[in-house]
Amino acid sequence: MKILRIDFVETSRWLVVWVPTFFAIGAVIGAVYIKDRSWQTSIDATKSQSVQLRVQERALKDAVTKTATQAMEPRIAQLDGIRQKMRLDWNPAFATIENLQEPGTRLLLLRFDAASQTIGLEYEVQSIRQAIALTTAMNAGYATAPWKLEGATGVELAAPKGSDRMRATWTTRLSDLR
Amino acid sequence: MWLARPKIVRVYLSRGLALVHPASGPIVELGLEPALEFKEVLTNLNPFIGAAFSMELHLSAAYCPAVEITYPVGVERFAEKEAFARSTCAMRQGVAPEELMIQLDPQLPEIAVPLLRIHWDTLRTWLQDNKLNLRSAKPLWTLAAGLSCVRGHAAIALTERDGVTLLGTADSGAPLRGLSLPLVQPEFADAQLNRMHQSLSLGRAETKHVKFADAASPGDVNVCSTWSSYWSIS
Repeated sequence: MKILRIDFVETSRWLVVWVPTFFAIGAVIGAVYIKDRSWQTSIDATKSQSVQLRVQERALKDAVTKTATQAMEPRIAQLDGIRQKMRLDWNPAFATIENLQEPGTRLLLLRFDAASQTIGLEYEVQSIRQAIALTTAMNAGYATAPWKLEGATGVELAAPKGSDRMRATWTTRLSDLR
Repeated sequence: MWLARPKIVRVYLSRGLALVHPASGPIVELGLEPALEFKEVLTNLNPFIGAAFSMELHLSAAYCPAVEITYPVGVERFAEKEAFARSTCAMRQGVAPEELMIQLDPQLPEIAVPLLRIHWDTLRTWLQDNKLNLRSAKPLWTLAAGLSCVRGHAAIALTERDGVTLLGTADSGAPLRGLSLPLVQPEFADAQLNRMHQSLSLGRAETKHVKFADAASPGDVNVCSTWSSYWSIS
């Protein structure tokens, strides 16, 4: 005898379809979730490993660089000094020297100090008066007299006639010459 | 306790007899007027529902007859079969097709089960009023067809108080045939069944004859646990 499946309440029939379907979907989602968690942990592990490797790499690189720098230090320091000096604009100082038209004076020494950006001049002058005149000539064109007479050495007081020569030095900061 | 078995009330409805098997307690038998309106029938059940919140409903052949459908060639899709079965059942019962609900087993669409929509709507309203959940609603003869004592037989005949149902196959490969006819006078059940056998060309000898709620024959508890003492085999 064949069995007829008749029920006016159809939900129970559809439950047979839906309940296993939902179970299957739930199982798939659960499996994916569990798998994803294990994947996530392995991803995290790889990430932290890569970070560690990067740190090590950087440390190694730093060590290499440091070694190289240490080996080349005297030359590098020299080059650094030159580079710094070349970066500065020394032209105003040179212009001052070139523009000086004071007879009887002679430039003895030009001194740069890159660290403090100061520039020093040493002239041979015949008298204090000439030194003052030289200062005026140096500061011509500047509103704030940058060149300052720092000192003079010589024998003018001993020989007022000015027969002997004396040395006078001026200094200024490079930034004051702008 | 809510963890305990869900409280299910089982109800059998036929014209003239209603059976209620409450969640706890023995089966209650209600003799009703055969011409009673469906709504009134349901109202009569109210005192016996108790604390149940779920209901299993078995309907007699008079409410849910088996209708044999022969589909025309070319009707293949289930929706088409359903529509055809609906119109055939409506024609046989003399109602408009939209007044019927149709149930077909997709595996065995040869037998259609119609139910008047007004009965169904009345039932839903009554269920709502009593806060009951309908677990299933099926004709009793489908239950009878699945009985273990019927297994191995080519056909089954079920005699209820208000109708006779015959289901069966002539050969093992033949399609399922079936028919329900109302029974006005119980004493003519055998004659009715004979005619049905002939019209469906099923052999009387291969038919297992089961009676439900038969006043004349004593019940056999071993037939089925559902409505245990109301089944009898002749």
